[in-house]
Amino acid sequence: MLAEKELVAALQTDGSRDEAFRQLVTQYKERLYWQIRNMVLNHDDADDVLQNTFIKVYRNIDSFRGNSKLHTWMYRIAANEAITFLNKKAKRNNISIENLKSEAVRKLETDVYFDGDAFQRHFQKAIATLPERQQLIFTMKYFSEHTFEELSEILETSVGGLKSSYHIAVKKITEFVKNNEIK
Amino acid sequence: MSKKKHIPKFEVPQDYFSNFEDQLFARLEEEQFPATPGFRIPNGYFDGVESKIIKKVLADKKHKTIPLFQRNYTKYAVAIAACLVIAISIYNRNDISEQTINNIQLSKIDSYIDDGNLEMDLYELTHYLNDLGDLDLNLNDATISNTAIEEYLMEHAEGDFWMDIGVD
Repeated sequence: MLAEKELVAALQTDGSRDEAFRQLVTQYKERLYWQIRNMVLNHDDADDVLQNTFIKVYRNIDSFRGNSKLHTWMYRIAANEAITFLNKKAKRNNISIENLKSEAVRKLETDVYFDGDAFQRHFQKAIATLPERQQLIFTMKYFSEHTFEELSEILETSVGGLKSSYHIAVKKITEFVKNNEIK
Repeated sequence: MSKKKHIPKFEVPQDYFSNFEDQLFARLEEEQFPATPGFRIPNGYFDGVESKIIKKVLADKKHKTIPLFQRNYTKYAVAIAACLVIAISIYNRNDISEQTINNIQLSKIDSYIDDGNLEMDLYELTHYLNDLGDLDLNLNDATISNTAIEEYLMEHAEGDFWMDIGVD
């Protein structure tokens, strides 16, 4: 496996691009998949977004300037692709993004690729009530286990701002879980 | 003889103590949350997805349309045209004539876009804007900086924007 700097150089060179890209996919597919999955909930949607993400990375690799780390840039693309996907899906179905997310959580009950219990479903319901950006911050911190410093680079937001948003999200989720019956 | 009190000269981040309680209680609340989201994946998914992605990327490369114009300046002209479309929608102008915009052959750009040759997405467009540097577009009395356009793109990238420039 190439170190990130060499990988970027190989990706930006015609002769070595395709092989370097294969390495990139091998290295990052799982981390990106789970980040996306935690945002879109459904496996098929996550699969689509993951592919879109890598295609976007391939198409835009020449314009990657190295102002951030490569994996930071990729996480950012993945987050944007997931949000774009959800917005488009909501628009196609003529519903709000909030209703789309509620529907996605409701479908977990019969989803063959969800083997969580009622409390885990309830937890997803709570997350779905958060504003979009707060959901993103919460899921990336809690499930993907990014540090606040990493998140700060990915989301281009201050560490202080992220911590504040995250802790508010935790409070809201706790309140939701306490005040709503598990169904 | 009295003992000198040793006070260590440590410092703490700003607002550390005022934020400490919030952070501590948030951590305690998190202890009640499920450790995993409960998602699973089809057997062999990660083995298969890699070849799917590579296939798609290579197919994408093969079907990339040969541009009408070989020189890179066309992409900049298209970027400028897209910015003008946004500017028009911001300032509610529908009657642009070629006399008001110098040196941009709009009909050629329109044909280029209509023929599906504009495979540019938000990232590519904003990168072209970065390449243009500090370009201020003057639309009669209105001046729009490329920073304002970039922010507008970031906020309104979906829906109308994509329909306006014919990108799927």
